[in-house]
Amino acid sequence: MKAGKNIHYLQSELEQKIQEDLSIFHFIEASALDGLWYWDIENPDEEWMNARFWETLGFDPSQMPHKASAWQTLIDPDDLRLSLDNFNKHCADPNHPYDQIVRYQHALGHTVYIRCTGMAIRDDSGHPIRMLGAHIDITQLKVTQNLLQDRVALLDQANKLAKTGTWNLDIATSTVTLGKMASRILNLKQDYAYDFDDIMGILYGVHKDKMHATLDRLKASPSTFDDEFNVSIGSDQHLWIRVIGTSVFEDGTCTHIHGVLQNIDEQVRTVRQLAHQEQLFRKTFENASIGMALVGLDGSWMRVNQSICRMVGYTEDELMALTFQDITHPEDLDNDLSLLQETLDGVRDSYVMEKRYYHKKGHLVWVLLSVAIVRDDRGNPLHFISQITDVSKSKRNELELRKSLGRLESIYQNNTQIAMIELDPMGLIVSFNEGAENLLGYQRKAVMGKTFKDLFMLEEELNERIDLSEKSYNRGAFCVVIDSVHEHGFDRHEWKFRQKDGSYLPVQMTVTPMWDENDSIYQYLAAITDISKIHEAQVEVETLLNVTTAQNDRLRNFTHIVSHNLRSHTGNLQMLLDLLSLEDSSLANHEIFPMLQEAAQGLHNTVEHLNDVINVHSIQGETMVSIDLNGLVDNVLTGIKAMMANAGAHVKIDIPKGLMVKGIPAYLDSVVLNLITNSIKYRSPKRPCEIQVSARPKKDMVVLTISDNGLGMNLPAIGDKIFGLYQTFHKHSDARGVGLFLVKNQVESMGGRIELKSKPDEGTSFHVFLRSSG
Amino acid sequence: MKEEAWIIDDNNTYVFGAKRFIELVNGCKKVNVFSEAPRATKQLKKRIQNKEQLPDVILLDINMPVVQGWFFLDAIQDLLSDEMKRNVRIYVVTSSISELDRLKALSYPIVREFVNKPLNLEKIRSIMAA
Repeated sequence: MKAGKNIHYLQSELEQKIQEDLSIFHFIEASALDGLWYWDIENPDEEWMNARFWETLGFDPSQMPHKASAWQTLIDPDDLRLSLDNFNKHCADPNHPYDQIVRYQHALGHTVYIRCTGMAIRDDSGHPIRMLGAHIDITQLKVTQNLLQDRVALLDQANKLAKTGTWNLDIATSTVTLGKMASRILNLKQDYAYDFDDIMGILYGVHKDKMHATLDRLKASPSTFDDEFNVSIGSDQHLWIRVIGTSVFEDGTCTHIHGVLQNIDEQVRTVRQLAHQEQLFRKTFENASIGMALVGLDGSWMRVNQSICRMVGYTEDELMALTFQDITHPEDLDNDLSLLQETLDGVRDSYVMEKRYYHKKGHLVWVLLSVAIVRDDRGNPLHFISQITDVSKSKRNELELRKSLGRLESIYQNNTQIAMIELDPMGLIVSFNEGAENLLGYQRKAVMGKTFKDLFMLEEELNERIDLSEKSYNRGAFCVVIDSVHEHGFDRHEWKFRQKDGSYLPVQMTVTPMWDENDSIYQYLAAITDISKIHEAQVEVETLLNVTTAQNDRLRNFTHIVSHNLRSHTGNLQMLLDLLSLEDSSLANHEIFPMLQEAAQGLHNTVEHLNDVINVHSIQGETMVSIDLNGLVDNVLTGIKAMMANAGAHVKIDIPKGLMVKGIPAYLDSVVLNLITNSIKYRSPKRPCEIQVSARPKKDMVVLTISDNGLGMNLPAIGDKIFGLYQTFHKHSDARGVGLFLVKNQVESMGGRIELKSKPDEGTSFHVFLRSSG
Repeated sequence: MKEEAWIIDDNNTYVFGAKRFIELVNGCKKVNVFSEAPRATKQLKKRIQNKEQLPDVILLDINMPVVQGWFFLDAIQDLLSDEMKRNVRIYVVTSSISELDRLKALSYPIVREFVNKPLNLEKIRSIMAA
């Protein structure tokens, strides 16, 4: 303590008292200080310290020696070094203060902070011989200080973690300074006095106005604000910050506004993203084309969308009043509930099932249900989210398909007469039905996977077919079949198949391709039928044909005999009779001679008729042509002009011009000629002969009608015999009995038919049905 | 009256009748009969070679055993000159009423007519008068 120029009188008085009364010194020494020591520099281990010295450090003074070494083990080594350093400097230069804070270890172990000061007492030459020192316990102060330091560090840390920094607006200078974190957040300098207007520049458009308004309010009266702003912190980089501020007033004037700002970008963005996602979900949910529903843990609907309402025919309100159990088909309910339980128990996160709902109208709706559970962040189930697709249509198709597949399968399997064998592209047997087992004698399992061709087919038959196809097959002989399938869509052929017992079976095999969903052939189906019965029948037919051909040949021979030999004999007979009558006229007068002549003529006629009959049958197969009916009738009439004139017959024709029929000209000629001459022959002697020839189209036929007013016939009595061979129904000299037989045969040969109506003594009408041309 | 007529036919009865008809109508002076077509062909060849008189009329049957009448028609086609073809009148006389036979016979230009048996006096008269 330095003595000033003007010493207070009390000070000088105390100094006087202390020198006179030692007790006063003792009082000071005991109560004002936390330790007093007096050290002999010339004998460094000798040191006196008062009781307080040791009490401060927690020791019993009576137990402690007056030695310097006693405290040197208690002091912090670093602090000891600092003390000695200060001592040496103080000894050399009295102006260097001996004053430092040192740490002692208290007897109880904790640290005691001591402010230690000292003053060297020097001899006349100024050489220090003694050292006087005082201790002040500043532990309390030091602990508080450390605590404060810790708090500041903590605050810094908290600021950093909370991305919070301080700011200050000085109203007088209109400048803004930013704390460490605030500057970092805003990407600006720390503790730099920014111009207020400049700093406002980083605020986003409308937020600038908001900040101005807020600060104006705060300048007007002491108040606080807490708001969010968007700021720009560099090109194209924006940040959401929360700014809290308080206005500070001095003498009724706002001197500054200070506060904190916080980077809340992440939170804002998260919140916005959440809102966006929520909206996204809501829109998706409401407008989804598939049914969507939030279902409570109890099965009640929490939310349903329009699609599901449409699917089951209820309005949203109606559906909300029901549970999913209410509209689920009872057969599907157990399965659904158990899956739901498993999901609830955490065995699974979701499940998919096909189930049936009842539509409001009562019919079933097939749906594909996909259910997922939604849990909170602690894993507790909140609700289910269901996606429901109407699969009724595809279900119906599937059922339909399954039905027809089943049908096909049963056809395939139960066909015991037709072998059905599926082959893979390599010609290996993939399936073998019961029919195949019956037909070929092998058991299914014995042939699966084996080569079809090698098992059943004869190489020489395949080779024969290859020779006929005039192609070359270097991929195996069976390719001739496969190639045909590819070319024509199927292959049908007759083969001889080798049966298990080694015998051969004539079969017809039809191979068709089987297409997969990509329209490529993945297999072949061979359907094989036993044609041995057909073969036998064929042999029989061939035998029959041979017999018939032989008979035909004999018939032809007969024709030849009739047409040539028989005719030549009858011809000779007639010729000889002629000659006889010419050479011996007396013979002609013999009563037998005319009878002989008549018999010869009769024989001749019979032969002629037989010829006609044979000719009808031998001409069959001749081609039909288009014939103009008018022209044909005209021709016929011209040919019998003389006959008509002799009989006084009159013919009326009524045939539409250009009416065409299909027929064989010679036959039709014969038919018309026969019918007209018949009308003339069997005319009534009572009246002039009137014949009408008419024709009318009727559907795809033409009806040619030839009617007369002649003798007529008693049809019921005659019946079918009218068209028989050698039937005559008139006692007419010229009745041959062949005409109508021929006519009927010829009409039928041309694909037509003939009908007649007749009444005795009124007339006859023949209706000839002919095929119309074109 | 014609000089000579040939009958080529294997049927003796017919040949007898035909000859008698020709005599009755005084048709020609001489009738030569061949029962086989090759003989007639041979004879005709010989006559052409020797430049002898050829027959005025030939009555030819087409249905004969072994060699048919068609053989004769085919053979003489090339033997006869155009003038000979004009002078030798060939009639196919047959009991066949086959249309095919008729058309085939008439397809030979040298065939005058296709005549169906039996022959009678009138037919022979017209043939011999032609």
